[in-house]
This record gives sequence, structure tokens and C-alpha cells, in this order.
Amino acid sequence: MTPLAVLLVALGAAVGAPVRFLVERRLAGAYPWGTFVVNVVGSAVLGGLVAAAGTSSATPVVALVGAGFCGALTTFGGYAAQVLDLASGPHEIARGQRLVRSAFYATLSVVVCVAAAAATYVTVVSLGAS
Amino acid sequence: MTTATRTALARPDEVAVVALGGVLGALARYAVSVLVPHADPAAWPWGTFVVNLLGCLVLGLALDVVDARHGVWSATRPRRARLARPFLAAGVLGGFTTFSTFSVEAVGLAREGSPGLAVLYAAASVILGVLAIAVGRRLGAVLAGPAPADLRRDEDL
Repeated sequence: MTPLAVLLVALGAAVGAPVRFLVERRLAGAYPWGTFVVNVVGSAVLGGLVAAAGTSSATPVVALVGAGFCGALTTFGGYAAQVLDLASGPHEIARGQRLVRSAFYATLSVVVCVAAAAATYVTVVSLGAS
Repeated sequence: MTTATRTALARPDEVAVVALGGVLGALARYAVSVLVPHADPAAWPWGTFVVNLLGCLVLGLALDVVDARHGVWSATRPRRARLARPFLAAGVLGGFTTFSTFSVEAVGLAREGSPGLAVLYAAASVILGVLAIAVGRRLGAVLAGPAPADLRRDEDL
């Protein structure tokens, strides 16, 4: 945990967190699509970055873009809070339908984010091998 | 946003406190990742797992306390009423918890470990994370009283 790494993580996060906040405000609706979008984009970028870095994971770029930017751009806490929120309300929607909406958002986020990370990871690895 | 108390477009001071909180949260997460390194992709990612679940617990607590206090703060401390939620929720705990590392670790588990372990990691993180939010909210309600229903929408994270 060098002073440079700390600085780079801080710099990346100082950009990533407000970008998430602004996208969430812009895309707020029946589903929290803003959070979905930043989580997918961050997962895709990090997948490619980890593949490019290979075994040398402690590089300045990984600290800045990976731990800093992607780490702060994406949120697990916000996602989990939204999953609970979709299940809890609004009360005009029947309970069964709320649970379906919540499960849909929960599952879609995980599947698309993991698929995005896998796709960029595999793509970058195959580019490096060719 | 479903409430008139929060504006659709972010103000500069809101963006600033999200950035500041995000830096603090990200540095705490980075410190954990250095203390609990995830060197072997086939192994259970304990660092991120604990960070995300702990972050969910504290986020649930923070959301309830901030929302429960919102009415009082609006009357006496309007700036705190406006900035506490973006700073703590979108900032500190948004920066502390991470979805990108979670996704990449799930891919690593599937590739180097076993697909079953990857599915278990994803399912355990999500189910326990949502549970941790609920427990945190319950703790917050005990400490500060329940949050008004109209403030309990969580797009703003």
C-alpha cells in the first residue's frame, strides 16, 4: 500500500463515485437502471483490465482504473438496497408482483455484469495470445 | 425520484460530497484488499465478500438513520438534511462496496475453481447482502426510529 497507490485509488474514486451518482439521477425510474448501467460498465472495464494486467496486478493503472474508478463507479450496497426496495414498495403494486420485479432486477444485474466481465476478460486474453 | 424533497439534477455540493465520500470508502476497501489479498482466483474471495456484506449492513443502518432524521434536519440543519444521504450512501458506502470486483472474481472462480463455487459466491453475496441491508435498516429503526415511507426509495445510491 504505497503512497502512490493510495493517491491513484483516491483519484479514480473521486471520478467514479460522482459519475455513478449523476448517471443514477439521470436514469432513475421504475427500475434503478442507472445503477444497472454503471455496474455493467464497471464490470466490463475491470474484466478487460484484469486480463491485460495478468499476474502483475499491482500496477498503477490497476490502482487508478481498477480499485479506484471501477470500484467506486460500481456499487454492491446500492444494488442490494434497491433489490430490497423493489420488493418493499410501492404498495400500489401487489406483493407478488413486487417480488417478481425485485428478483428480476437482482438476477439480471448479476447475470449481465458477470457476463460483461467474462466477455471483456476472454476478449483481452485472446487478443494477447494472438 | 419519487419525492419532491430531492431534485432530479444534482447540485455541485452534492456531487462534491459524493466524490469525497467515494474516496474515503474506496480507500477503506483498498486497505482491506491489501490486508486480505485475493491472489488465487480459485479461492473464495473473502476480502470483497466481507467488504460488500459489511457495507450493506452499514448502508442499511445509514439510510434509515438519515431518512428518519431528515424531517428534523430540514428544519434546523438544511445543508445536513440535503447532503448527509449523498455523502454516506452514494459516497462512502457506494465507494466502499463494489460490483466490478465481485463480477470479475465470480468469473475467476468459474474459470479457475468451479462453476458451482462461482454460482455459490454470487448467490451468497446477493442473498446475504439484501439480508444485511434489511438488518441494517432494522438496527437504524431501533436507534433513530423508522424512516418515513416516502423517503424510502433507493434510486439515489
